[in-house]
Amino acid sequence: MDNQIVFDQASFAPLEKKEKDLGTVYHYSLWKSIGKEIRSNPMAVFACAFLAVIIVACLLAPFSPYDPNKLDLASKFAPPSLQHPFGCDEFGRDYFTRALYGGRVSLTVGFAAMLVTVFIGTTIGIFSGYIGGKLDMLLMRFTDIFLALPSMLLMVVLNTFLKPSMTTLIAVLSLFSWASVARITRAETMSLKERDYVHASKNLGANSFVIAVKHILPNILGPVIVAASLGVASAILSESSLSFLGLGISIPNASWGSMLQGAQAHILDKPILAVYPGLLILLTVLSFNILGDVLRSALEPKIVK
Amino acid sequence: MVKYCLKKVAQVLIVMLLISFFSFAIIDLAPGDISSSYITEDMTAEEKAIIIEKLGLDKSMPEQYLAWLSEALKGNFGVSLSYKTPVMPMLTKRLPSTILLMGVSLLTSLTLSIPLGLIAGYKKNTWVDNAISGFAYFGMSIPSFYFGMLLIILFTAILHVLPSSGMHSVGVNTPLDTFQHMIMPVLTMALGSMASKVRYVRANTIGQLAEEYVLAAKAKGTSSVTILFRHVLKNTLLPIITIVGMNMASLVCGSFIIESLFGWPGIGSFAMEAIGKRDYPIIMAYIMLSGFILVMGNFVADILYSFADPRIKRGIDTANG
Amino acid sequence: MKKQFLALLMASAMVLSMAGCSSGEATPGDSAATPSTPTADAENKGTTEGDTQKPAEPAVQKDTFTIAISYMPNTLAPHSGGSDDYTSMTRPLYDKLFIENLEGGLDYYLADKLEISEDGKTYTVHIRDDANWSDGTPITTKDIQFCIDYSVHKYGYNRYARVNGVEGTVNMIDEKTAQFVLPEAYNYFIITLSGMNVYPSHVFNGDPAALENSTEYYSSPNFVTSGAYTVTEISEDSFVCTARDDYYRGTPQVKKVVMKVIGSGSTKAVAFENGEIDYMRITTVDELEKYKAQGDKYNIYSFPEARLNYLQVNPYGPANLNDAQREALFYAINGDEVIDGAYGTTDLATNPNSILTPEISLYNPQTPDYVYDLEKAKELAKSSGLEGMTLTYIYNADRPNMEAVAVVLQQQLAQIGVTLNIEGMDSSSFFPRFFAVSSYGKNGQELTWDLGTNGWDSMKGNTLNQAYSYLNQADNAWGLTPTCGELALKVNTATTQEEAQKLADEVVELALAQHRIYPLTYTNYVIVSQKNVTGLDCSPIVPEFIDYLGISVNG
Repeated sequence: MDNQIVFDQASFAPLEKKEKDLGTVYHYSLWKSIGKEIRSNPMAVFACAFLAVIIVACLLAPFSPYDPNKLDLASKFAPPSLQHPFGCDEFGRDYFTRALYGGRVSLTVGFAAMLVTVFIGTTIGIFSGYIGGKLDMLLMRFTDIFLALPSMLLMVVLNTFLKPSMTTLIAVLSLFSWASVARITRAETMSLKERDYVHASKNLGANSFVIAVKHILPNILGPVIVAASLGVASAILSESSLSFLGLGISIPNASWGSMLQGAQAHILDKPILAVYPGLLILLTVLSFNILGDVLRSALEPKIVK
Repeated sequence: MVKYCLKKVAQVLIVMLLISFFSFAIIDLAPGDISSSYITEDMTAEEKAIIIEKLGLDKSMPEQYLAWLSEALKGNFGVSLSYKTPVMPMLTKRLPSTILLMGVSLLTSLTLSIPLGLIAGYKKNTWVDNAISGFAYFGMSIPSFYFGMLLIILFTAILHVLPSSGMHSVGVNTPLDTFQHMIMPVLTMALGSMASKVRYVRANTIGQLAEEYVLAAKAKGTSSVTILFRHVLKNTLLPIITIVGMNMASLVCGSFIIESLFGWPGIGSFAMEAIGKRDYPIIMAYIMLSGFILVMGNFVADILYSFADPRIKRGIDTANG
Repeated sequence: MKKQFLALLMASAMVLSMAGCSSGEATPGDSAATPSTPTADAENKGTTEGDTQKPAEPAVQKDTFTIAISYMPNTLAPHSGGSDDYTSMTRPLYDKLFIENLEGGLDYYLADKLEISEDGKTYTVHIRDDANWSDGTPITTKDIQFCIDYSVHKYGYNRYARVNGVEGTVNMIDEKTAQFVLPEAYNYFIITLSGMNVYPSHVFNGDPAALENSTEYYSSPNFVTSGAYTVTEISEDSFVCTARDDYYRGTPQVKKVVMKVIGSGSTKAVAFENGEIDYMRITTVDELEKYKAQGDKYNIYSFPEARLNYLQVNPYGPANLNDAQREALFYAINGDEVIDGAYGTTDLATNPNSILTPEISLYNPQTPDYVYDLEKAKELAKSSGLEGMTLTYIYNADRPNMEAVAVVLQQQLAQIGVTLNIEGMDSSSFFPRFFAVSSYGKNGQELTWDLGTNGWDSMKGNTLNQAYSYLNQADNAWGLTPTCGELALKVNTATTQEEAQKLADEVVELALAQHRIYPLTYTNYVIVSQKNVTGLDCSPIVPEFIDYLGISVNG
């Protein structure tokens, strides 16, 4: 018994550690080069800082002294003041608090749709690219079709017919955006699978799943991260369009898009109500786009700067 | 080459077939009731029941789909539920306005983004480049409906210089009048699709400027303007074809929100209205039509590209034997 | 890499400019969106139109009245309507026999006399001798017969002589007189008659099938009309109605009525302030105050819509609320706050006390209203188990202010621990859900909601009007006891006014006591027009406007 325990500690632990190290070293370099690129570009720093502030502010929303949905008819359309930094809306609800809660919805939808998109896209892309042959052709035709669909229109149709909720939004948004991710990851996988180290691990008896997850996935992480950043941006934009058409989440909750929809009724007289959510969308999407581009130039050095 | 084209045509057909199946399935799954568009408030319960019975869709989904498909292949997209007239003439009646808007937007975004991209690439990393690229970022980050709203407020509500909606003033049928009505929707539509083009042209220009022929031309004493607009432009235009094909998507898809916002009498605003009324034949026909424009855009881009670039053409011909 | 910085700069420049607008305009009462001072307005308008080369609506051609429409109809046939929008669009083109006005009387159009026999079974309509179609053909009982034939063609029976499933007869006494003989006395019949579309029999050779397929005929200009205007021009996004000079009621002052598609959302308000359209409806207190403050530029008209908006507790809903729970719910609703929160002023809507509107002669101001008592509501909610429940609430997003009402009710009910899941939807998905039992043969959607708001309009005249079909519910749609239906039927077949009044009071109180329906608002139809437009309220009716003879654009 004793012997065995000693044996365990002596042989397995270091080995395990070694493997971990390998992984960490690899990731470190990826993240490091991202970090370096961001630091070297003031606008990317700004975009990151802005996103960090927005995300933290949205997370801290419950600390606001106001209930985002509570009516206070006395302070209807109150102008911006110390108590209400963004003023109040047509029901006297604190607009700042609503913008924070709205940001939670917009960002959650953006991130969740991106995650689902990336998950589906990467899975199909790697699968298709790695296995190849007839299956690859079939999957790629399928992907082409999704790329050729008038997606915004179908999103509107689907959202009109389905019960509006955050889950519906996320599902619909990711349903129509995974295809481009699948294309990118497939192309990358195709080039990677002919590499020596993949052949080597195949010959060593690793099964396809292990190779896909351990060897291919980490190496296509770069383009996936870029796609993810741009994906959040486009998901937030699409969500705002759907909300603007009244197909977003249900009242009294709001997203930035639905706040804009509400504000447009008063846009001639209280344009300030349309400024805050509009600007938040613009800046957030802008930041994600900037970040996506910076990441691209960090991770794909072949692109001309 | 012919083989390549045929292969592409076959692809287009398959994609169209699948789009049709897909959209049919969406609509079939949709809850909601088409009969509501027939029911008026002064009808008695009994009359309402009769109407509902008359509309009864008792067939299964595949049956309905096949029936629809065989009619659609003949160019018959059924009869609108709310208008009770064939769908196709209604769409074709409104198609020219949409084509006009899309065409002008495409043209505007091209004529603006190509020179902007060239200049930005030429003046790489100067303030000019920064301004142009900043503009491109702005264009791709602002929701189109929001930008449209801002334009309406600025040009109609504050400056009173442009009409807010429609295609022409009643009783006036001059090109100038239509042009005035078109300015804001075109700007809104063009802005969104400009960003990718500007960035593409810029990157390409930078790449081309590093090529040897540019050096040679410079050595010959050719002016930079000539180099830029003669030589570089020529080599940059090629990839633009693909981008334009791809941009069809954003034009087609963007058109219905922008058309509704500006009351533009095209197929987009018509489709939005049909969605509100659950007029399935119109929705189906619109999805098919815009899917068709989209797929054709990509198809034409592919073919043009292969014709335009001899390298690709050769590649295709060898691949196809 | 400074380009992103410039994008940010542009963004902030945009904010600043917008903030600039807002600080300049947020002050109420200022000449809000237009930079011009009121005195310079006339001038400004002139130059604006010169600048944009528009056909200068009010300033130059003072006989054109421009109306915003939300979509361009494919056909303008009298029978392809349904929506309020469409009715409004075709009002200048087609006249009815008569309509019920807000005072409970009748305004005559094609007809000049309606006689109802002592026993309430025979209705004799006389068409004006000079009533004619726009091609000069006189309007006669042939056209009424055609209308009846069309009903038979479409529904399989004559809806203009049918009461509770039993068909009566229609006799054409002479060219101008038609007699409707009902199987039993039925006060509601007056509403059926006033809704009758009269179709030109001579155009279709009396063939109802031809009328059904008349889209083409009604989509090109100069089709035959019975109203004050004919359509002379149809384009992609507008159509022009031109005044008839042989219209039987006189010649309209407004020579041209232009119906023009205006974009969605706030575009309409912009178009109105820019002078592109002549009037628009307003539904919020801010708009009302803003345009009131500029009385030298705009006219404001307000008339009762004769509409009741109400909250319905669905007897088939998943929560299946019991008596005590519904009572708690109604105690928790503060009707005045609903008006205040969702409408902002009693100029737009008032707090009702009955399911009948004041425009109905049977309306009784003494009908006891529901009382708001939060303490009692809380107590009752706790004891009845309502507290902590989550209810699904649906509303029609196409109707103005309904979303705001939902927001207010959601907060009010939150105070007694009830959570509302709110679902707003457009008419085409709302109706099959709300009327799942009464009109859609229990399509299953009745099981998907607990509370819903809806409205009845054209609640005027001498009968229970729309409340009748509510009370005399098909398939026990609304959970009221059968006694309500029996009483309501008696009201409609009552022969004396006193009897009808007594029965009406009884049935309304009985219905309200069951806590199924909460009357939310009586709404006013408020419209703002350009200053030179007058007479928009000369014959108040919703959808607007029935009497184009009274409208003038010369101020």
